[in-house]
Amino acid sequence: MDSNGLAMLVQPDRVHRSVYADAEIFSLEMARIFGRAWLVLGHESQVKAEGDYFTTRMGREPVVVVRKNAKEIVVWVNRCAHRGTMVCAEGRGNAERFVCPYHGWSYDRAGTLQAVPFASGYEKGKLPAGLKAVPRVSVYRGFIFASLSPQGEDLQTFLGPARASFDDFADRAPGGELEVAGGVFKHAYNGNWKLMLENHLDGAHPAWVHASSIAVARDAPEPGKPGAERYSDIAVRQMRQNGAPDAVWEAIGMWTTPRGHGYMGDYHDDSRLVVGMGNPVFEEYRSRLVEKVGEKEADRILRVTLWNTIVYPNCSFMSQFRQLRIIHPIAVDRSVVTTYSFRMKNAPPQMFRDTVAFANVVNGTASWVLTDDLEVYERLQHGLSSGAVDWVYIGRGHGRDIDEPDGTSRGATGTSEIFMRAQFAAWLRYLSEK
Amino acid sequence: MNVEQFLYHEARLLDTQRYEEWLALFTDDATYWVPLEQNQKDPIETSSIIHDDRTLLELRVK
Repeated sequence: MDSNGLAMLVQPDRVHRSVYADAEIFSLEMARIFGRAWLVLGHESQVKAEGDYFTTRMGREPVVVVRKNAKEIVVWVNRCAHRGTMVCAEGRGNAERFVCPYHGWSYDRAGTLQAVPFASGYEKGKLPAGLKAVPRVSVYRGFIFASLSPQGEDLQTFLGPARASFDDFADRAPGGELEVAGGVFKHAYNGNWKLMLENHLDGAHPAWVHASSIAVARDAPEPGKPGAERYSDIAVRQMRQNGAPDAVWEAIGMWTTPRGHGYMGDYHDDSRLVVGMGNPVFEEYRSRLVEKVGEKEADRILRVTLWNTIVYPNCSFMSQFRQLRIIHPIAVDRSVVTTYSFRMKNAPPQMFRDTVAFANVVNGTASWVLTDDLEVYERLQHGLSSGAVDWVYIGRGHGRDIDEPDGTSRGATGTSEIFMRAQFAAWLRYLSEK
Repeated sequence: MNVEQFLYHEARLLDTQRYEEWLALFTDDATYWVPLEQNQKDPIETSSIIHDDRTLLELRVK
């Protein structure tokens, strides 16, 4: 498809349904978006010691992220240089050598070929050097990124104003120390990868999609007073808050960046749910933060109240309960999502227990919230696979976007569909670059 | 009712969608726990597929 054809699909206030349903377009996305963009792969805490590794995917490529030494993290494509077998089984661990299960070719942590059985059968100098390295790897505030393209803008430029969201995530940890902990949720849905990234910034959906859990939570026992909360309170508060009045959603703030990233303001009453002013655990946390950065900086850090951030094209995270999700496109109508929780190492233990409780209720595979969203993604994919109607409308707030001094654009209201327009502008830019 | 029969009874209530009766099997201090990981030690420091107290069980049934 040429650039003109692609440009026809993405118009200022509507997109053609084929961007969600056409397998050929999906292949282009894998080559031109997932083959070029910086992708979030994980966090340094997952590869602390030399030889620590974990497997993941970059678009269609299975890759392994390895701590080569104290200074360097490497990423290589998980495909044996010999016959193409995945060298490393999916998962994580620690290894000095990676040995292909098929013919025993072995590689060191950097992916350099070390030994080949029956090596005398090859002409001298004919063996490959090793596994294919992912050409660019970079870390921002502890988060590991990589790009399959040897050229392109550096990570800082790619993130642009969205760096502030990662800063918020890391700054909230007293001493800046975060670690992945508490188990990993993994789920799949029969729908396009873009649907999740769109939904996570969509303030107009919770009152409808999550209506059933909002209704039961309203009738639930009142949450306990600060310091006397019950385990179920986080769930009840979160579900109630999804039913916040329209005026709250309109006022939250919605910002996007030139590369399609975006973030929304927090829609919670922060005296109750997120930061819990007046709660003894929170006060303890705050005092540990003050110890590290001083009173003024602690205030500044805690005044930043963001909810979801999207890093286009493969990540969604939120710093208030320290959740991060990575989306792996499998096919035009199939996606896999991994969900991580983070512990702030120097915060009171209850802060992490709250994170675990929140993850169970909202992001878990049998949670009240995620399951509703998955139902809608699959209904969307069904509807979009129909050829009866061509267009999808993304025009709420169109023409009223506001350019901010920091390089972001802000929606006129919190429920503006600016985030979809920004994601599709980035989409078109990636796909139009030959 | 012995334990084996009780488990069959519980499963039958769920299979036949008699959720109110199923809920009545649980005491006020009940915990319903489906761990996320093999050999998971506790539901507090690691996430779970389901970790519900009586209040959350009631919300699921409603």
